Amino acid sequence: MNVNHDELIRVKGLSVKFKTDRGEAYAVRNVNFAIKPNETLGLVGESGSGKSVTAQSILKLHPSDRTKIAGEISYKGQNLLDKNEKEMQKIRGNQISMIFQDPMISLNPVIRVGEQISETIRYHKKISRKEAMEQSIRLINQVGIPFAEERYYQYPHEFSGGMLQRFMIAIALSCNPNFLIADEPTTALDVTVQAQILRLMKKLQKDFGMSILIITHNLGIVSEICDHVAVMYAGELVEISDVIPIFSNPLHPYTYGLLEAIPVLGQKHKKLKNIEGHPPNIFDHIQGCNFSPRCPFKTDICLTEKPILRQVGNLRYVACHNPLNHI
Amino acid sequence: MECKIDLKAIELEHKQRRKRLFKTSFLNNYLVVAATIILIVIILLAIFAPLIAPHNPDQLNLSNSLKGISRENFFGTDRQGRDIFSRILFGARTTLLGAVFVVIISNVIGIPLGLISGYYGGKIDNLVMRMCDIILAFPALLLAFVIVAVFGRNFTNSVIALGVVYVPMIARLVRSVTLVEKEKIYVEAARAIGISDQSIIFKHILVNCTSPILIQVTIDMAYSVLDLAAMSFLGLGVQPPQADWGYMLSEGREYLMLSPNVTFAAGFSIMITVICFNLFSDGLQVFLDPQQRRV
Amino acid sequence: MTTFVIRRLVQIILVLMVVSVIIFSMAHLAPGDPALIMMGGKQSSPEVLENVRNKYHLNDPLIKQYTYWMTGVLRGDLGESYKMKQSVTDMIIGRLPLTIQLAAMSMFFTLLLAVPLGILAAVKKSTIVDHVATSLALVCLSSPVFLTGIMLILVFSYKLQWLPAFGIGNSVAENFKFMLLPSIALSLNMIALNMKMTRGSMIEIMDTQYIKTARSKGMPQNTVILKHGLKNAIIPILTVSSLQIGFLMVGTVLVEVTFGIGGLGSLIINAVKSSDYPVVQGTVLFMVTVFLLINLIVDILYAVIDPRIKY
Repeated sequence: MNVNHDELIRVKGLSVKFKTDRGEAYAVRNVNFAIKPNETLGLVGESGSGKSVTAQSILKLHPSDRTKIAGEISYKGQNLLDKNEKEMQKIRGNQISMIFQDPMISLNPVIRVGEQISETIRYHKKISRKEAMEQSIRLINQVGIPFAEERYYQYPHEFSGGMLQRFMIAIALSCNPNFLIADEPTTALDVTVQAQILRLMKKLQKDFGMSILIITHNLGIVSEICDHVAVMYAGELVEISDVIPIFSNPLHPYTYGLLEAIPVLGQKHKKLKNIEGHPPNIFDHIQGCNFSPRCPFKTDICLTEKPILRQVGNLRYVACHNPLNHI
Repeated sequence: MECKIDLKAIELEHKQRRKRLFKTSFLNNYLVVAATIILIVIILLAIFAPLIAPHNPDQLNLSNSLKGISRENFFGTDRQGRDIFSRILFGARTTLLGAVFVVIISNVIGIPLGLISGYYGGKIDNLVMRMCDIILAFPALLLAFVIVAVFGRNFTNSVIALGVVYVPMIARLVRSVTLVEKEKIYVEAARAIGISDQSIIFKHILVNCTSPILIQVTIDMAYSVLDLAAMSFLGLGVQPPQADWGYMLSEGREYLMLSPNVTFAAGFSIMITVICFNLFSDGLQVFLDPQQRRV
Repeated sequence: MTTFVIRRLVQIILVLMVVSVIIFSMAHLAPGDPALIMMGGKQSSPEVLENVRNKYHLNDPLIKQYTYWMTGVLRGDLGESYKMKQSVTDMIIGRLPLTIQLAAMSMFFTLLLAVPLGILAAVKKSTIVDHVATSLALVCLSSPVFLTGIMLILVFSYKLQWLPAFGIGNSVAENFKFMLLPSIALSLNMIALNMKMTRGSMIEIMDTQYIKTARSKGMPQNTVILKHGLKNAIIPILTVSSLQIGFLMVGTVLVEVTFGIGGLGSLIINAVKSSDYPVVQGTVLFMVTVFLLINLIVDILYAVIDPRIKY
């Protein structure tokens, strides 16, 4: 993995440790990935696999007194982990933005939605109230909300979840960021609304020219929007690939299991498979491969030795002793 | 998809969680442990006051007036020459007994009212809530002043008055829990198999109200110690010569310049007791109701 | 909003009517002959007592007596004190300024300190600052106002001799000096309570998703706390404000008695002690009215702050 200058962001050896009542625990361990300008990376995994923690580490949103982050997150060549809170504030919302899973609780209930957009612009761009407001109204239009002038003065409880997610996107894009982190942006929405939001994100990605890191457990979303995929299990990356090969040719048994669990239209009689067992608790310590207790293909070595993420093809990485479909 | 549920494991997990919670809420919190121990000591002192007290708390001895701290009188004597330490011990009886009765009265009236008005709703609910509104229309102790003014200024009346004043709080609390509980499936099921309303209310719903009620009881204990002291301080509660912390404070204020011993002894007794009840209720709250921390 | 205010006003009038009936009937069901109380327990001839009874309509049926009283109340006449032979309305008006000054000063200290301290404790959660603030709050909360008052007298009047211990001055400005200790005694308790609540709700709010959103869009710490956090944190405090106003009103009674301030509180306590029922009736009805009206104002404020509340 060489330093590559057309990379917008590179995460290198990222580990996140939380201090809890029950002691310290790794939520994320040794994660590496990179995203180029205008590309979309999907970070896939079950809930609790460390996807969101990884994403929030990029903006350093974790409470600093209870979190230890190690590794390197270089954005345009500067390591974000070296930056202090003041410097991070200049980056958050301005160069790197984030949208969250549940729009119903992501907007401040007692502040008008318009103000929540324009305060972001005012803070980062240092422009007048009036200009910020005009820009906000333009943004509200751009994310597909009609009657923007009136909507500007309304409060979050007056909108549906899908509408609120559009406002969240408007806030995130308000300062023309280079990079958008979308943490399960459609999970809390109705299926029909999900598709609209995804389409909107795709369109805006082109208009604004930005990279996206999308976190999801839904492989359907991955196939629709992503260029690359990184699969995460129990706080570690197990497979990285371009989007097409991972569907046709999964290497890691866990990826394979995820794919098998997707219902396919027209295959009525095929029984849906699920992956047996549960992901390990972050306090559990597992010898060897994290996935070995659930893996149908495990061998002796899997129980003793931890597989490392290794390159197996062009832009193809896997952390498994016995990858499927050997190339 | 097959679903195997290991009941034993769940039960074990649950037990371990309780244990851990008990540890974090009580044992690991030295303050809560200390408060609990002090409370137990205070209660024991109150119960065994006649055995422990070195002097008769009501024994006047004017030649012994306003003595300082000595081996004979641990906290000195008051203006009438009575032993302050003994009076504090007997005062603990008055205060704690009073507070317990305030809580008993408010709960005995408030819990059934809350259950019935929450469970049946409609007109009964309306009536009960309007009655609560009337009581709550009086700012805090004011209603207690009126009741005592009418029925006579003494300890019993002030305890009853406070009991009444506390009813709306407990009734509303129980009602709100009942409103949530009665919508749950187990109540539906109980009704479907023909269990009577009475046993649904008093056996099933009441059981689910115990945690919030217990927490409220400890908070109310702290408040009733304070409020009873206030009533006695104002001269509306305990009448002389009975020993009581609140009354001792108002007595002591008159000769504060000469000797603050009575004031200190009674004041700190009230304060320590109330602090302990507050800390204990904080610990209980974390233990019984870890998600919902009320302020 | 207007319909809400009107509806609440009607409700308040209904509650006041019930309260007036309760207060009135309690005073008249009380053991003891009002005529005797009026004569101050002096040995009086039956004729004198009978005269008194006739003068104050005490021989009329209760309903008629209530009507007399109520028509008076509606005209602003709360009756006449048994003991002082003075109009209760005048007595209240005469003493009200002192009580208002005391309450206002206490409120001022509370508003000035409670919320900032609560925020400070919340932001510095689990540090020394937080521990000191919460411990002090616990002590203040567990000390009845009269005890706090006595302690303040002991330190600032007797030991340091900075401030007077009892009584009041001759003017509002002079009263300021006399009321400093009383209002501190009263406000310490409320500061502690509000600080604790602000801290609690602030900690809860700082954990919410929308605070994370505010941080994720680069808002500086101060904006996050004061603009995004505080407004939400105030709402749960407003919901229990009724209890607090009640506490403030009864607190003034206790503090007035402790510091020998002749305000409304002393009036009511003296009346209770001497069974001066017209004064008890009048002052209690007055305090209940004020209490309900302040509650109404708070409810309106509540809707202004929280846009989710629609009346």
